[in-house]
Amino acid sequence: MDKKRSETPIIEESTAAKRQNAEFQSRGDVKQYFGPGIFNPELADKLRDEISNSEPYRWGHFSNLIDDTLLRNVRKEVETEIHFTKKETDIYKVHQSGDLANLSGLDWDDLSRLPSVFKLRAALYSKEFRDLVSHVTGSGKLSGTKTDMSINTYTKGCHLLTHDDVIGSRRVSFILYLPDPDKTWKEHYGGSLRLFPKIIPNVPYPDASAKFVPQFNEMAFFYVQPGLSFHEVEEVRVDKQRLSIQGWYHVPQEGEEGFIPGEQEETEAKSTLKMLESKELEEFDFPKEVRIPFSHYEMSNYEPKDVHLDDFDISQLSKFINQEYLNLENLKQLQTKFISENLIELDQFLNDKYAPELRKLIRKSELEEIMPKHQKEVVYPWKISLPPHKWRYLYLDGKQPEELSIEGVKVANSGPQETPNFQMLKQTTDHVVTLKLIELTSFFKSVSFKKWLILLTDLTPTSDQLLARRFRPGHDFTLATTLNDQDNTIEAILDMTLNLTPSQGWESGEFGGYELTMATEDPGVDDDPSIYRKDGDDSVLLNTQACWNKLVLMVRDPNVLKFVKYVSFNAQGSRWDVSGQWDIKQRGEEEEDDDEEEE
Amino acid sequence: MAKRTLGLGKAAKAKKQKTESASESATPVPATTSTTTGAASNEITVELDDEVDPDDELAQLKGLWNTYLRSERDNEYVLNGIVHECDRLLRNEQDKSKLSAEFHAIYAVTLAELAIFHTEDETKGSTVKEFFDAALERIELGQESYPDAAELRLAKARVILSRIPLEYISKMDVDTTSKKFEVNVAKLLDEALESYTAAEETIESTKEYKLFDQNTFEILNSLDDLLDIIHTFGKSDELAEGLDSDEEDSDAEEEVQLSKKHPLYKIQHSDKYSAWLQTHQVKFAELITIQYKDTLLSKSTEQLSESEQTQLHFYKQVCKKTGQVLLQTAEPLSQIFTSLTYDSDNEEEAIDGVSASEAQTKAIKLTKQAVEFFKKAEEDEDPQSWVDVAEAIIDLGNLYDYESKDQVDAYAVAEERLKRANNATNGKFQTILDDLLNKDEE
Repeated sequence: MDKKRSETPIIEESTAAKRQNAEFQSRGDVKQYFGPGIFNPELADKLRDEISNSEPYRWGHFSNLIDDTLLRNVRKEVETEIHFTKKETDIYKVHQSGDLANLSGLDWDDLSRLPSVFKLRAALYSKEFRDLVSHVTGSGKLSGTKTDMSINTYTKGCHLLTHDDVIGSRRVSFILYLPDPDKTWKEHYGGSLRLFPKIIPNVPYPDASAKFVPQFNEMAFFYVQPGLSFHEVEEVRVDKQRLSIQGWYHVPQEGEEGFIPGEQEETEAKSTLKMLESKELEEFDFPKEVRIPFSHYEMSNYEPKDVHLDDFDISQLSKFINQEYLNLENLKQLQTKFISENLIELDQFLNDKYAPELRKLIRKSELEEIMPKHQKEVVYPWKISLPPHKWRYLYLDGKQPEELSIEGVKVANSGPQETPNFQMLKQTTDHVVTLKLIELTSFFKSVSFKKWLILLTDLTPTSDQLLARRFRPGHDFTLATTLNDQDNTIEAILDMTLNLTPSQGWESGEFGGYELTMATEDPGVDDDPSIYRKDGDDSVLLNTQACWNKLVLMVRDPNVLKFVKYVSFNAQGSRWDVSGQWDIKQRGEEEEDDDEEEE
Repeated sequence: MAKRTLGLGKAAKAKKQKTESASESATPVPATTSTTTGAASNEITVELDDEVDPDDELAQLKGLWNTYLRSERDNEYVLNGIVHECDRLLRNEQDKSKLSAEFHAIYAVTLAELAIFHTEDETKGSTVKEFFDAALERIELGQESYPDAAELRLAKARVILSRIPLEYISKMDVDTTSKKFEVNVAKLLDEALESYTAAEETIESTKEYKLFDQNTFEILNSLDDLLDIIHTFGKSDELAEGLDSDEEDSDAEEEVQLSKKHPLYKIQHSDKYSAWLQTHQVKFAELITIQYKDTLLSKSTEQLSESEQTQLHFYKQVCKKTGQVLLQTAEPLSQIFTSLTYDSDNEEEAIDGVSASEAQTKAIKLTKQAVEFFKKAEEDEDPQSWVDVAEAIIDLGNLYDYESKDQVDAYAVAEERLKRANNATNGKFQTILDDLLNKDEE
């Protein structure tokens, strides 16, 4: 199975979705729960027209949706009665409504302490309002028996990254905003809803094209469409609470008006999470996980039993690496540790001649240059990754430019297949930091470095992929992925991150940017790997905060997940690193096998 | 030879299975760094100053206290450790007068610090009051041998400034009256400030500037915090929304008028305390500037040793705080100037006996001084420190005559700094910058 991204539901349907005993039926008095004019047919038609022409997909909003007093009471009840728990995974950081009675979520069956919330739910799922939503979105009938709402609050630093909401029978997503009713929520607070246009279905562009800045008593909603309805909650940038009630209208359930047998199953089959596993979409993955095998000629350097560093190697390695790590005695000790733990962390990896200069240059460029914020501002040889519901970051891969369009992707996949060449990449730029990072990345491709790698790991590298990466504050992340092991042939690879973040303030992880390595159960078992507890969780194998000049090298097996947490807008700078992967074989593997046969 | 297990995931799993049957405390995550030996999590590393003798017991005690000071300060065990160590030294030292003033000071402030961990235990025996009483008693004992020691006077100020909010203000509400409240908080506060002033005089006359360290800086910080608590006493803090709040929000702040009978009324309505803070904060900053002038302040960053870098960081912290205190002091004067000059409804000649031009002159002087301190606190790699300077310069610009050259120049300098900071932080200061640019257009 191509398990690039595991089956992680985005805000699970789970506990919040409840089948009600009695459908929320038409009630004569329900309209009193709404703001004035909401059911005005002319306004509804106008809204329907706007939505049918909206970009990047069908979405709209209501202002003053709920009766002001009722919604203020809802807010008060939420503030006083509901306990929120902060949850952080690869895709979000949010305070979710924990519990009234248990820890699994708000108990929607017992709303006795929340009379206004109860009324609100009755209003939102009333036939009158469902019919209105159905009319303006053109979504078809909506279920009144399957309600699905949760309460979240986004405080400073909270966010929910790009996803399309397609799970199960969801048909229309809505978010009812309840920030402070007496204040205007300003754009620079963040927390807006951002919608992404698509290159092709299931492949959104890296940048959002529409944005909704929430105010009290406004409801944003959109038609959930597999592969299209990509959106995110922008990070809240300031010390304010963006409280919201969000939920879904589902397709009619069996026995309800508008029920279509098989409809739900059909939607589920198209779900993005399923599509993410399909091979055809991999064409739109940039950068692709491709390790280029070394030539026979190069391999002859690594195969002898006693690989040793000659004078040339030492002189090359000394330019970059701390002498401590070149000392053969030390290397031997490190190797023993590495063999036993499959992991090693080397502080002050680059030497004290190379490192300070590099740090200064990177930090200076952060402080003095304009950071590219949108795809069109990214200048080659830097590239921006795709698709944004998997990752977003800038990188140098040593390869030719690719245009992120249908045509460009076609050329990238079917045109000339050139291998990376960092030495030639140098000719394409005179940007000092870029040149420096190219030089460093290119060093990791040298025979001398790979010989050193053998001495450290007692493993022979057979192929490689190297990327210099930049994760910009307020933009970038990678979601948790395992290795691409379609043919089930990988036992393990060597995985390296050289952390090169020059700014301060990352130690607590508050600003994200940490790289987390997690164990999953055996591949194929459906669990939710991205939900983890940061501390004390057995499944967390390693958590490396963004930092300066630390090399982390591990033997990574196919079921190990890794991700780089979204970097907060309020971080002091970008997270920078060089990431490398090598296919490996054990030293003297063949001989050992022969020995075993002889026995 | 056994085949090597390849893979962190597999290895962790194997290890986990093994450890589950063996020991519960073992962690499956090997997170030590190869070049250093990871200490067990319940051990602490005590850093000693470069020049001290590691066998000197008092130096060790001081090191332990400094370790606590630089930590997150959430570990009561470290404090208990210091208390035990102090007790041990007391037991071993037959001649009590040989224990230094510094020993008694550390013992006292440690006891006071322990009180923070026991605010909820009124029923469990060791109350906040007992900790503070013990701390003050320790200072008195020390003073029997060292009646003039600056260390002990500073410790006394620190203990009292910690005691006032924790033991006394925490028991008040808006209806509390001086009559019913057994302690005269204003008198106590005066006592703390007198003790600090006396210590300061000793330090100046003996030129023992070393005592102007983190500990002493924190005394001034506690006073600032305390004055803030007193000035906002009774205001509801239902909004947990702080630093990024806009001006619009601060307007909505509810005003609570304390009755004249309230124990905090006197402090709240006196300018004496903020003036005291300003004077002594500035003096502190000036004296440490003298202390560092020929050492770290005369070197380039590259030449600084690690401990000097820590000192430089501390120096900049102090300068920043001093800038803030000066701006705080200038603020009421700036308001008088602005109100009398620009508020068309205001036809008065003076507010609180201060005329517009008087207020302007005084506020400009304070704000200029603040700008200089913020400049000293500026860091090449910290855009917030550039913004601190820019904002103080904007305040200064606001105080100059409308559209005067001084004003235009001040705004221009501020704009340049803000633009640079805004770019370096990808837009974090856009709102402040926009406000400034709007000002230019007005």
